[in-house]
Amino acid sequence: MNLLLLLLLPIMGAGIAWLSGRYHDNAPRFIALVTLLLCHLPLVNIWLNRADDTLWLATINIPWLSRLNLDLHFAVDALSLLLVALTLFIALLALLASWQEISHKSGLFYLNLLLTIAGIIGVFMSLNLLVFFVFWEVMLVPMFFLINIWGHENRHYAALKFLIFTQFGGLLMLISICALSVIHLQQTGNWSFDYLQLSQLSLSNLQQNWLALGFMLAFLVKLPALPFHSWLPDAHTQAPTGASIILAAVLLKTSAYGIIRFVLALFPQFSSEFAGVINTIAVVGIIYGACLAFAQTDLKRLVAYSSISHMGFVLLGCFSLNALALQGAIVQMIAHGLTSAGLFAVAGMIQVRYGTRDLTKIGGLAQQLPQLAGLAMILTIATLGMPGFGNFVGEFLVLLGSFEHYKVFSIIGAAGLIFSACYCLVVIHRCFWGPLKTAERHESQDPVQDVSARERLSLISLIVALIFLGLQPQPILNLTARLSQQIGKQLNAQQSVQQTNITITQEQAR
Amino acid sequence: MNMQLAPITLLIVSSLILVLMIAFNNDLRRCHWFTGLALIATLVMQVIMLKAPSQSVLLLDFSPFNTALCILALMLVFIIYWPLQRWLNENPTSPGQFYLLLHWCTIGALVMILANHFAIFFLGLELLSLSLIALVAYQCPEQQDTDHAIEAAVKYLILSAIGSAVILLGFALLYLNSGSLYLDAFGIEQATTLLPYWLIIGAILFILGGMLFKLSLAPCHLWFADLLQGAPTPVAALLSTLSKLAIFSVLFKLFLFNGWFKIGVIEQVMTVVAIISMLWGNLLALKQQNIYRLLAYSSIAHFGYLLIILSLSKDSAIVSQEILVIYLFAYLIALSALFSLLNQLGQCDTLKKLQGLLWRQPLAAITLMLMVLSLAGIPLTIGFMAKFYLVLSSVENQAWGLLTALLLGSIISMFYYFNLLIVLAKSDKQQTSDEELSISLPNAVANVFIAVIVITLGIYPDPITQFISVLVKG
Repeated sequence: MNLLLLLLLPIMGAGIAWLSGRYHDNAPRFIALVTLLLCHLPLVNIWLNRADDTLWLATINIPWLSRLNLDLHFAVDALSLLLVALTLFIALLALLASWQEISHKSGLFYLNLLLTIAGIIGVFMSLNLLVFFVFWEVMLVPMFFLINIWGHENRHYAALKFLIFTQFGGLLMLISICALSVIHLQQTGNWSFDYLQLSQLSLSNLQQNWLALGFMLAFLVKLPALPFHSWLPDAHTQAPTGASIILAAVLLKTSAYGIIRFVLALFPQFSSEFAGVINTIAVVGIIYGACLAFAQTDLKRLVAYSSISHMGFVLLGCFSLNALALQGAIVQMIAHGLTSAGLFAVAGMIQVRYGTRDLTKIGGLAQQLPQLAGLAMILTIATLGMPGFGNFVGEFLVLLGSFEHYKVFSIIGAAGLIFSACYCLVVIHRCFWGPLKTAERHESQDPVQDVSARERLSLISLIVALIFLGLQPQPILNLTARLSQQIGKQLNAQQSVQQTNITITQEQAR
Repeated sequence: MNMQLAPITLLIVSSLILVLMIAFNNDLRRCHWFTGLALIATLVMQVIMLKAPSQSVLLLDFSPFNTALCILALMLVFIIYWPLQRWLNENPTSPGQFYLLLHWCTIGALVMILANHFAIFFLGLELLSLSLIALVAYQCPEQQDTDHAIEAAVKYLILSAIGSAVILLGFALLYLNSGSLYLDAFGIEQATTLLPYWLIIGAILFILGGMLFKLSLAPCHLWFADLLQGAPTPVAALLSTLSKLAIFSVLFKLFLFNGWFKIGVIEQVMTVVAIISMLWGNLLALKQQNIYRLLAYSSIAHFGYLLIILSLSKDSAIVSQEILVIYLFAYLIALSALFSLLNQLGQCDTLKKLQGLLWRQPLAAITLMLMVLSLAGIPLTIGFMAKFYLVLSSVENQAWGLLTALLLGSIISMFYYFNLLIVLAKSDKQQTSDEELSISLPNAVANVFIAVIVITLGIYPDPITQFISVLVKG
């Protein structure tokens, strides 16, 4: 019931917010705020009523399409719960960031925002593969409208590009899901799209590789990993601040979640066989994203490329094939969600004040915005992986874990940290320090105000969360320990089987 | 007299009454209401017939599957009929004749769907085609693009006649071979030594050629976009929904009964046609500025997807009839609703004129967007369920080549479907076109009703899938 509420509340809130927009301009955002706050209730309820000995903290199963034996099967484990909590938290931040920015058609804006949130929550909770796919696709459409209607100068292009890229991956995943279900039909005689049943299937190597390829491409596009990343800078840059925050902080995480939940668990043989290839993609992404971030002059574009770099760590952690790196990846997901949300919020604040995010046109803003400069400084330092913040814990664990099997990747990945220090410090320097340089402003305009209470609240809450994650990561590590050990064990077993096979063939060759 | 014949008989009788009505008093309102009543009565009777056992009467085959397709056809006609009165009000020349031709189209389509013999199929085909030719040219003096309509009518007349002639030749040759004109008598295994093998294949190819012309599948698709652009909107809707539904159902039965797909040459030809239609149709739709041309090319692609159904083996877990009904239902209902909306909006034929509709007429634009999303196969619309069934079944039959084309085709189609959404949501400050009409209350109700159906069945598809699977078995 809690799970259903978690899904239905944002949808209902979306409808009400939309309709209320006709009566008062301010009504939609207050309704959205109330809805998001209400959504926390079922979450807390699940947490308080959890049973300690089960993997799944809450489940619900509703028949949906009896012809194909499809159920609406929702469940949360520790990982889903963490990510849903992150989603709700980030949604509040996105709401605060859009509070003043969105002035026209605000009812429709909050409708789309809440529907995106509902879609993302659905992705994190679905245990039926088709339902997962449905939410995966459904969250794109409101996001498409958010970028398309409220975005910046090049929004139509960016929205279309975002949609086409992710649709492409999605359709490949649909084919894989169908194939998985058909294999289940052939092996057992009835249809099933249920994760728990499909994970019992015995798949041949060839089948695993093809099926996993479909899933993997969908997730790599969304992550985004290297050859498929080009939608991300456009979408992030053109989206309104609120949508950028959601895109970077939670939408990208759905793909990492999908990798952990589906690829690693359903296709262990594929995961260990192709870990080298995927880790190469991850490491190249880390370095490449950092280099490109360094070269950007558009503030939002810079943050977008840094996302590519940081998500590379998540990918590396997922395919390092041990529990430690997997936990690191999970921590990194959360930490990156917080920092990227913060940086996009800062970029949005600068854009609102100066009408530009071009780093060649602005500079030395600390003289006008001392508080914002200080807060942004802390967020940037967290991004570059300073000990004491969440990102450090995540990146450190990933590098430590990957060193076990993939030393070279670990070393190159560590070098990525240096690159990220470069672009982080450079952006702070260009943007906030040095002589004051602002875009031309009309005389009639009001003088630039430093951060308002609302903005301060959102940035400080982010920083507090990051510091907490950095100093006290143990609760999260404990929560995800069971899941990551289970997957890690599975993968390790696969790894050793493969190594034995290799040694055997080598000996036979001798 | 058999009860199963009642719906068609009713339509024939009502068309005769309509003739008398036109002769004595050609009044728009009276004709409109009479046609509406006749259509509803037929629809109700047809729904009652669903429960009847399947049997063959007078060369017509009444199975629940056929009846379901008939119901779909009647629903399409009804959706197209609904906004007609207002449209005819503005083109006030001889309104009654339009309804009469609409009647005949419907009868032709129903007969074709039910036919299990070549003679009656051909009768229906000609009734449908000839009425459509008259309808394409149907116009009023003050209409601006008279030339387009006449051009379209002549094109359709000639190509339709050629198509029919080719089909006739093919059937004649097959009749030489099998000695029977029942639609299930054309299997290759019934071959006698009368005709050489290549001639039988040639005859089948003749029939397919004619059918492909009528379905406007690539490479016989060139006429279709011109026709849709030139024809009046409701007629364009009939052309791309009702007529295609009827012809495709016959094509489907020919393949189902006779196992033509097992013949190597035919398999290759149909696979190539399907792949070209999916890709080429979608590619051509990309750059269209005229919404009717865009819909025409997207229709070519959609029927390309539908050709996959012909390749499915008979012992699949999801029977091909099931996919056919659900796909046609999802696709044609959305498409006819889209045409109906365009008809209600008046002269909005280019994308530029539709720009910013979301802010001028939110209700109409949102309905339009939902229909487009359904055509694109986005989840939570019925269009997704159709696409999902198709993908699932082609994965089961391991039709990888066709599936790849389907995948590429749908990706390409996302460009223009979502571009259409972008156009609808673009802010426009410069213009509110005078030609654009506001939507009347009954039409708005109908639009919302269809939108609700598309969404509800998308969110909770259990009733319809269950219904169809029972129906196909029975």
